[in-house]
Amino acid sequence: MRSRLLMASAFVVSFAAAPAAAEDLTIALASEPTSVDPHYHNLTPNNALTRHIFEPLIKQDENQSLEPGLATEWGVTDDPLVWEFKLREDVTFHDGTPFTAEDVAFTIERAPDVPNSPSSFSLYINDISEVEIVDDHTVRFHTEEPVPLMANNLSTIAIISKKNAEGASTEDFNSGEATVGTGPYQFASYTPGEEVEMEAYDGYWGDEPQWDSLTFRPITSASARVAGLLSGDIDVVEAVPTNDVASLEENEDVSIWQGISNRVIYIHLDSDREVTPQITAKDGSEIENPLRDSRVRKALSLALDRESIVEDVMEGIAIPAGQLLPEGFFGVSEDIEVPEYQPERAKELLAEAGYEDGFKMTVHGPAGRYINDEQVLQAAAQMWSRIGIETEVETIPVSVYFGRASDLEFSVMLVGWGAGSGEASSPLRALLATYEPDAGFGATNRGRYSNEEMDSLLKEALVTVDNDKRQDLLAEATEIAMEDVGLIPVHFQVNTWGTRDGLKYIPRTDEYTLGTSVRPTD
Amino acid sequence: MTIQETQVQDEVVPPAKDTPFRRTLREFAASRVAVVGAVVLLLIIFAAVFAPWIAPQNPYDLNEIRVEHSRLEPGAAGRADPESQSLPVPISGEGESGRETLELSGSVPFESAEASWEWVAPERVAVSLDLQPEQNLKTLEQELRVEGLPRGAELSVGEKHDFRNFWLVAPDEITAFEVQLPEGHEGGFELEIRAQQAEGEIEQVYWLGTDGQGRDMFSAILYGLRISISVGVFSGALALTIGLVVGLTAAYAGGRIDALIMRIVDLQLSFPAILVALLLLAILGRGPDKVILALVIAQWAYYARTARSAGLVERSKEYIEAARCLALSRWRIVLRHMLPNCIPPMIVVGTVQVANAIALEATLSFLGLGMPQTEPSLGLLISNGFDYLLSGRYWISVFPGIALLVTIVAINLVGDRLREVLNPRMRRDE
Repeated sequence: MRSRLLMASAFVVSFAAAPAAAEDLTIALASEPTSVDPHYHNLTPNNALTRHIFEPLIKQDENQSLEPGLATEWGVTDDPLVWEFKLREDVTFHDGTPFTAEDVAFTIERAPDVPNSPSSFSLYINDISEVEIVDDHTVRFHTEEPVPLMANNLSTIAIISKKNAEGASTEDFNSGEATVGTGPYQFASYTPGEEVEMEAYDGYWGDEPQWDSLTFRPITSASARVAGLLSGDIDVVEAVPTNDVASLEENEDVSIWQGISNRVIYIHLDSDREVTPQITAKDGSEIENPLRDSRVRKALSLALDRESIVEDVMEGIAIPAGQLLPEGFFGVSEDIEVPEYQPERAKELLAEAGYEDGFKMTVHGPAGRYINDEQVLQAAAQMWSRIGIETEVETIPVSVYFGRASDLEFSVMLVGWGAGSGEASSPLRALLATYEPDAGFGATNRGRYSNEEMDSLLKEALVTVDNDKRQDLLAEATEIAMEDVGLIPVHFQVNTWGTRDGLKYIPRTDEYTLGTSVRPTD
Repeated sequence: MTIQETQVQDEVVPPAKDTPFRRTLREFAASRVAVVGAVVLLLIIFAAVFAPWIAPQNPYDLNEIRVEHSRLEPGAAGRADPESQSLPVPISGEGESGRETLELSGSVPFESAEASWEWVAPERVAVSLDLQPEQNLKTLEQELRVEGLPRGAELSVGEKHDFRNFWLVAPDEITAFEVQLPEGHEGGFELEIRAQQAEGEIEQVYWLGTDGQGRDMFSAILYGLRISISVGVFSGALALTIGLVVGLTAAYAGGRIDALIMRIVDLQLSFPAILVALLLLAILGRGPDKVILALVIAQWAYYARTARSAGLVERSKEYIEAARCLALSRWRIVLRHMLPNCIPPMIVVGTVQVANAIALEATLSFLGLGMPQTEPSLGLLISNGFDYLLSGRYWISVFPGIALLVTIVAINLVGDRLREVLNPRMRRDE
């Protein structure tokens, strides 16, 4: 271990002097993937890690636009309930077996029900009722209803090898036995808590892999990650803390790369229950839940000085948000502006709703899930105090926070949502649609917001195949929910990567840290 | 303790008025270091008790702290929001030129403004601004922000923000510029130019800087000391009471009861105090009352053991035997005869343990289990500042650290000297 470390740094030094085509890359991750089984856990660190070894039929580029992966062409057939995919022909798995439609059918069968999966991929596959193998390189997916998002959905599913993974458990993937994909890197070793190693795959169908080997190390402490980068042990780090960005930008030995993320940080409000657990009158007596009144929700939104949160808490490294995705994404409304900071108007709205004396509330947030999450929540609490709402803050360790939030233990909570599909139906469906988990609506609607008009627009959008029309429907649904303040968007995260000098990182909106996005500067 | 028998030297006070307390005080004062420790400790206690009157700000009141003043350096001034003005420039559709007087949102920095624009090419429009009074442009030290550009549009001046959709333009370039629109753009758009005066008025000077939430560090340290000391003293007093009762009971009763109690104490002492406190707080949650409870449970055993050993020594003495012969009740013997003579060693243990309790509370808060985020104690302040150390903002962590260090050293100096004074075996001849 020790000697390998030394060798790695020796490598860094020698190549810093004379850049060459091939070398090893060590990447520090902020949170550890829970497995190398690509279908075990639908979690950003897992998805990013397995993207090196496995590939989906359709890939998402750094802006989450779709591009051909293992499929070269795809589209709806004349029957709107059937999608046809043409598969790439010259692809082999890491063990040399050719990639065929059999593997696709096998993957679609396995992915939705991996035993003990904490968060499964079924939501992306459930729409498929039948997989039809036309020939070795053509598959058809049959559905019950039109599914315009089929391509987006399948871009999240990594294709595994039928020969190697038939009957394989998650443990078989972790040991490397079943971890055989078509990606540019092949599995070398996985030591939970320590590192994951990969080697370049010579037979890769696409561009030759840039690096000889990749080593991913989970280093959860932000300062330890930065220290590792500064000392030269690490080539690339993700999630550089906003505090350190300014000083690192001045350091000649490292480079900083930033990019917008698809993650909105928002405040969810209990807008459903008659009495909500943490809101009382100022004397502590029980009151009717004020958040059911959209004027109160609007007041809370207008009382937030988003510009100040971005400048003073995030040190400028975030974007004020007025809706669920930053501009440029599919389904975003161009007519929604970021709500201006209007404390006086907020007080008026509270008075109109009958709360001129304010009330008392405790707000909750995770400790360390999102960039500066505790600080953002405290700043919001300050701003709400200024309009007469006595606010207390409680931050909770991440391991228990989300469970408690989903059990509806909180009245007001800070959460983040990254749109995995890269378009607006994802947050609308998960966060704002009326709670109907069996149908896949409102699964993460922890405020139990419900608005029939928005629901019907969203449901229409989900079966509309015409892109322009779907864009308009999604934008309109967003406008309605934002006007009614179904939740309060605060800001969009901006992610920061640090590399040693001589490397560059191409930022991705899905927050993935990929070895394939690291290039040498020339 | 047979204080009466100790030899006394260098009489300052006439011997006639000499009492044990005065003698103790005089002996204590013989050590300069201890006196300095005591003075510092008194100052700290004074500052902590009167913090609400001394501190310029109540750092626990969210209405008083301002996130706009976050991370200011020591000695820096917190300023009000600078006056800002927004100039909406409505540019009408392609092929036309136009001129319009702008509606200004405030009187500073400009009193009137006029904009004219002309489409110089199909997707290119030249904009010029006439701002009055013009010299006010020079007082703008910050760049102006140009918002409302269609996506993909470019300005001929200034620079686009790295990832947000606005351009920053220097004041001397804003009066005439061109906008290059993306291919295929149709129709007009509305530019919004934001002018901000360089600095607002000074509201408050922060002598020790501010933390990430804009809390005045000086006030936060005073209030933090208040929490640390009250948590230390309250938990110390409670643990001392429990320890005395349990320890003396064991010492006086002896036999099985003694064995049982002392095995429980041993069991408790075999767990590190920090581990016990961590576990308890993980279950109880945050808050000063819970921290005190956790510290009492973690520390009572230390007092119990000392009380028992002191009690054992006293029990074998003749005055206890005499009291027994007088058929005094057990409680009377324990409380009126044994207890007062066991106090001096307890004071020594007490001071050391209070210092330990303060350090323990700071540790728990540092680990995020002690005080709530909005009511930071010293440990939580240090922990919050820890994240800023690499970026050079030392003051958020270092100043509370110094306050904690000084407090604990002062208590330990006083405690050490008390031990020397109160324990004849430890006494050195001066």
